[in-house]
Amino acid sequence: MMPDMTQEGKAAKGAWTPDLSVPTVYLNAVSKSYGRIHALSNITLGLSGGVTGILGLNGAGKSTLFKLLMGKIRPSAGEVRIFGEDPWKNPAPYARVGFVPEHEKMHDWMTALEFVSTFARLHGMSKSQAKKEAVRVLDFVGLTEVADKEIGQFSKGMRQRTKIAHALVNDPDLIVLDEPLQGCDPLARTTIMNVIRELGKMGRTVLVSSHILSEIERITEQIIIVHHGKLVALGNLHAIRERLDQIPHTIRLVGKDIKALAKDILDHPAVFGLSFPSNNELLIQTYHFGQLHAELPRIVVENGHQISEIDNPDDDLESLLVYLTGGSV
Amino acid sequence: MAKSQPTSIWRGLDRKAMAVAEFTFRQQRKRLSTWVVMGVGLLAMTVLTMFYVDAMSRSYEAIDQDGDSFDSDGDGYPDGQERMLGTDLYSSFDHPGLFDPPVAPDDPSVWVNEDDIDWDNLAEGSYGVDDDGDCNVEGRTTSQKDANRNGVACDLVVTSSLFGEPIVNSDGYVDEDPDDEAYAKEASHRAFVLAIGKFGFVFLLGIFVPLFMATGLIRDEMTSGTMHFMLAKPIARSEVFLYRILGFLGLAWPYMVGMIAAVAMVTGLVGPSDGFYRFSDLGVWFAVLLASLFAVLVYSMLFCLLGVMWKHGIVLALPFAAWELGMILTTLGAPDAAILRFSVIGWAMNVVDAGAAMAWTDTGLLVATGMWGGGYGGPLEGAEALNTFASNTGLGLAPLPTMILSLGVLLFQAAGCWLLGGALFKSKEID
Repeated sequence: MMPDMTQEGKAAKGAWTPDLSVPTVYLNAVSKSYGRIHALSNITLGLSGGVTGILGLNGAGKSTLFKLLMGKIRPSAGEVRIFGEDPWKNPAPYARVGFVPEHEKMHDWMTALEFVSTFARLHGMSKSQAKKEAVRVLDFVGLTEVADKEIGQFSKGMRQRTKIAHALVNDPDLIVLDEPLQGCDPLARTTIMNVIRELGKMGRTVLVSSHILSEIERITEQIIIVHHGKLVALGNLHAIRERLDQIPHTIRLVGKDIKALAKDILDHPAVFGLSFPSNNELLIQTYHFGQLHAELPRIVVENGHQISEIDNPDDDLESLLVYLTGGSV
Repeated sequence: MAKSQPTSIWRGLDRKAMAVAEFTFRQQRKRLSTWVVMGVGLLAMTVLTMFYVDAMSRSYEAIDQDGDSFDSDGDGYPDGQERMLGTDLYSSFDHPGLFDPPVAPDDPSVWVNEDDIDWDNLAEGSYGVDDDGDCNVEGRTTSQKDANRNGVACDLVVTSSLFGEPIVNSDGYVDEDPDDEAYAKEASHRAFVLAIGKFGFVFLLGIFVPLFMATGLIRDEMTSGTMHFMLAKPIARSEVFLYRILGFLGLAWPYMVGMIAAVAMVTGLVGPSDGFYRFSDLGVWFAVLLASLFAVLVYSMLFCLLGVMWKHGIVLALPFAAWELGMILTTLGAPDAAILRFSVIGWAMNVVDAGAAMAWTDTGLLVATGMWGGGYGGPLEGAEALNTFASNTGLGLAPLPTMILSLGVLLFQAAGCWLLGGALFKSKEID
């Protein structure tokens, strides 16, 4: 079910032509509040090309940002532009945009092919053309075999991929995906991540949101972190992470002979603390997370230890936010 | 792929319209509620039609309105026969049996229902035919034969009272004992066609089909979040509004056509007629169809608008439906009331009444003579029903201009609701 990564042919784009001299996505001092709740405050942002991950906890303002971009809501202040147009006033730029909403509800009574081709026709395609393009994008997301099945029978991952296919059917230059990996099984995750990476390589501007750091990390390096409606970081994830490495970190190991492993690790310069929450569990405290994380597998293998689990309880968005915001998540 | 680009903006619009309309049509078809609403409508119309078939197949008592089947003097000759042949009604020693040659007495039933209602026999201002010949007897003077002084012997003159009620002024002995069954069937038939046309199709189906099917056209998708798929495409929201309605009409209009055609078929075959089918009703049915389709159009636009306005749009729609009920009742008694201009149903009723006026030119006479009932008793059976459901067109115009103007107003109302609904939808933030 691996997708075919070669997209052929361009969909009809209608009469509207974009202004290429401006950023694909441009927000200038944009705020959005619902009554006294500030969903977004003073966001300024310009993006063109490549995959950008939008990270934030649930309720941080990621979806609000996307809804502003998609003209679903009107900014309380500031200006939102996609391809230089105000999306609240003019739906024409959507000829070049694909949107994957976070909503789980879909038209369950339609087959995947009907769903994708019906919405393709809203781009002004003829029926046969829409069907052709739908077949192409369903193949691209690896759903060819189930294209004629009703969406109601789909798994979460298949539904997400159908939504992605629907967003890609017009061969868009800007693709906005709101939590596309949420609830997907590992195979679907891998497929969707591959699709997103591939779109980035094709030079499209891709915005993908998530609240899970490791997911975004597998897709892109360019990230935006949104927290409490504010933009707290924008840039390369690795640069952020390198600085994050300098703060204390925990690695958790589970294995049989855990105390013997502790002995071998104790001397490592990056380690500054060890503890045993239970008989077969080891917590390692380190100041150089990246370095230790890279060397740990070698140490384990060379000394013949058996490890059944390894994870980094601190290596998540919350820890990153604690670091970026100086301890106020 | 330059060749696949839409050739014009209209082509693109056309494709989008078809896509959304087709989508909506299929979506409605997949919903159980659609079939429940349509099934209930079918059931209601079937029950009403059964009442009609029952009314047509039962027999009506033949009433001797003028009492001339009675033999007052007991000489064996009914009063009607004696009066026509000029013998004394009250003397048993003067009867047609003493003629040379003697005339045999009529069976009393000959003098019941002896005067048909002459709705086929019209002349300007002068109606009625002395079918049994008891007006035009030799013994009566010219002034007796023209008691209403209109210069025509043995006829009826129908005038209007100060309050618009028709007054029948008879020369006497004309249409004085109409055929009760013929009248009842003709009048009940027309009353039913108008009643089911106005109340069944234009009002009940016209309001309730859009109420249950169109109120959620936009709102349901906004609530469930599926509207996001459509609004992520290069399509204006007012376009979505319009094309959703078109898709709804793709289902609702054929349904209305089918229902009206079925009832028109049944009533045409069952109703009183000389041939096998009452072709004369087709004009009325066509007006009912036009009025229903336009009513469904306006109501669906309006209810969809109310759905966009508020998530409980049906709560706003119900008082409006009540208002429309008040208005349709007003059209029965006062079709020219000015308040009807502020309703949808008032204009739709104008269309039906105009169609009925064109197809059945003699309904007014039928009502007048039926309510008069021969001049001796109360109204004939069926006359009050027909009097209730038949109305004049309310604009004081001829039927055809009334129909054209009313359809134009309905179209204008629909367009207004679309513009308003589109603008409202455009200003809505969708979460």
